[in-house]
Amino acid sequence: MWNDRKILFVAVAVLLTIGYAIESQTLYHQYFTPYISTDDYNDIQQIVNILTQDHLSQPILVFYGEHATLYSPIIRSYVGKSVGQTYAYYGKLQFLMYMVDPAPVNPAIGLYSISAPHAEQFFEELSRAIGTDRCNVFSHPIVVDAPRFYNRILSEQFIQQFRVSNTLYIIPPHSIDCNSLSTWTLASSSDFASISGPWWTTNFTWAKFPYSLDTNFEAGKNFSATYKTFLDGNKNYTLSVHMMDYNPANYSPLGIWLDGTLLLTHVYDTKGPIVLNVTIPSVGGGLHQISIGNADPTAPFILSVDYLNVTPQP
Amino acid sequence: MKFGRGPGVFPLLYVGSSLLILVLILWSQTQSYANGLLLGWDSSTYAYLARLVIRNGPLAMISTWNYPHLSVLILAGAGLLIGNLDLAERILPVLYGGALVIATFRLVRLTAGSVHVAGISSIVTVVSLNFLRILADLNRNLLALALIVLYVPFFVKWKTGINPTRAVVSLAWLSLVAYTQVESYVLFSLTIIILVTRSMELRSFLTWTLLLAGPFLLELPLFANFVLDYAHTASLTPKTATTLDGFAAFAFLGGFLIPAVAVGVAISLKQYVKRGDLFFGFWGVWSSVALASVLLPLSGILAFPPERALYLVPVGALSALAVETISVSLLGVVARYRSG
Repeated sequence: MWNDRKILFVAVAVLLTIGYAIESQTLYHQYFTPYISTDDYNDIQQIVNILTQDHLSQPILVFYGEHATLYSPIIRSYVGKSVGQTYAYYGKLQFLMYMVDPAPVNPAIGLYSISAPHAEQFFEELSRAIGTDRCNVFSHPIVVDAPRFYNRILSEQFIQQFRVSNTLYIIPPHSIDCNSLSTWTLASSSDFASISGPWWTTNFTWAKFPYSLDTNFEAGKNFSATYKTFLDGNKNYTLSVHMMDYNPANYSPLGIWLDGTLLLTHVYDTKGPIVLNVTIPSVGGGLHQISIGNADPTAPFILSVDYLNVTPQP
Repeated sequence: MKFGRGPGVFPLLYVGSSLLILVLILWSQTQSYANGLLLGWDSSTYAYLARLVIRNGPLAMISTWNYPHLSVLILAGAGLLIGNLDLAERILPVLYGGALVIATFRLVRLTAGSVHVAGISSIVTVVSLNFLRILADLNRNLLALALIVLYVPFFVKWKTGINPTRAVVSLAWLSLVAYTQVESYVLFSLTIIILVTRSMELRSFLTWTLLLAGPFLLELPLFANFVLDYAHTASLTPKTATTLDGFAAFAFLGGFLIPAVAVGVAISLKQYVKRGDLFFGFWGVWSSVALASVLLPLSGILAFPPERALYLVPVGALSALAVETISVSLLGVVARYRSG
């Protein structure tokens, strides 16, 4: 028999259940999501297919940029669940070549607090596999999917020969001599470690890379763009800066610093696009910092830089 | 199948409906995604780790991890058995979820003595956000929670009358939980310790403490390295994960069901304190330990995001236990209204 108590019991139970289900329903999809897109998945499948066809095992996936910052752990797992042991490196390809710890050199990591631990975990795992000899990096296939999972200009010149599709580069094991890699090109608009002051990018016809790094501001401000590069302690280097040489009237000279020490002050001379060559004095081997900015903060400043090329001297 | 005391069609009806709702929710949420994609953040990592187990063998991987990672071993085994790791990763969470729903139904029925209260608990459980959250991709949490809820009736029965056979079974079962997810196991151990402390029997306290420590003593050679690795992993835990989002806390605690959940906790603790009822005691203490681990810095020490402790709060069971109290209170209101 239904009495008031039973009716209320059922009513309360039904109201609570249905009300709660309706309330929560909008949140279900927040967790019932694969997080990565179908396009991401298609790229992953392409990587898996090529690695499998070519019998390439234990690949190193190189990630860079905002998308990879968040989703690199998932992408690595998707590749790994198909091909087995898979390593990852978050950072510029050239830093992988020297097994540079990514955390101190990657500006993108700082954008999302979740990414630094991933980058560190990837690096620790890879370091254990590589051991003390950085050349062991080259005994693994190295995979770069740009721009989807490596959303920066590929300024590393050697990568072009390893292009396997529109977006995918796979360096097979033992196809690069690790000791021959000492020339690095840094795309000014995207390879910087940090920038202070106003800046933007412009697509100039004279520039080699799609974008150049630009700034133009009134007197009384400072500008500095910093790049990190690995230098071999046994070699002397030349730094070549591809840039626009503006009209000198009213503009501050350009300064170039190495690890905070002024290397060169260049006064503009209206020559148009030029390559400015600077000799880098002998410094210890390791990671070094090249900065470019205004040498005189009391004057207005203008700058358009395409790339910086670091080449060992013969 | 016997879900509690007495036969009848209701248990099958309630549990069947709950499982049907579970499948419908999963289907409605997943049918829009491409075939190869797995749900959630962690699912692909489980599949990856299972692939490593298949390639390198379980012993090599246990040695690498310094921990058995039972859910990954099961996934690898299931993947080998059916020949498709992705399919296994899709099926196993549903099985674990189903086991948790059935275990919750059984335990609430033993607690409240009512098939209808148990039925409500199983249905609210499958629509609750924290259950669906762990169903989506947190396989380890889900399996550990199912194993915990399945074990509680045995703990209640054996608490004061444990013999060698029961001790071995308990140790084996507790090891399954400990080797599935250590964080849930720590919270469950705290719950058990609190429950056995009430009787103030030193022998019982020492026996259960030893049993709870047993899984770690069994894997002692690995345990030291595991603790060191764990401390290191904790240092790498993203800072964002150690702060609790207020909206997430509200949603995972039951949203507008929070008053019912609170009533459920209060009823459970009252029944435990006044009558020493261990079934009620489990719900009350387990929920309190989970909530305390969020409020106190315990989740930081355990290196898991505080939300994960909220996933353990049994919103379905607590709400169901509160339904009768709420309806009786409403009855009083109705009676007063009728009497003018």
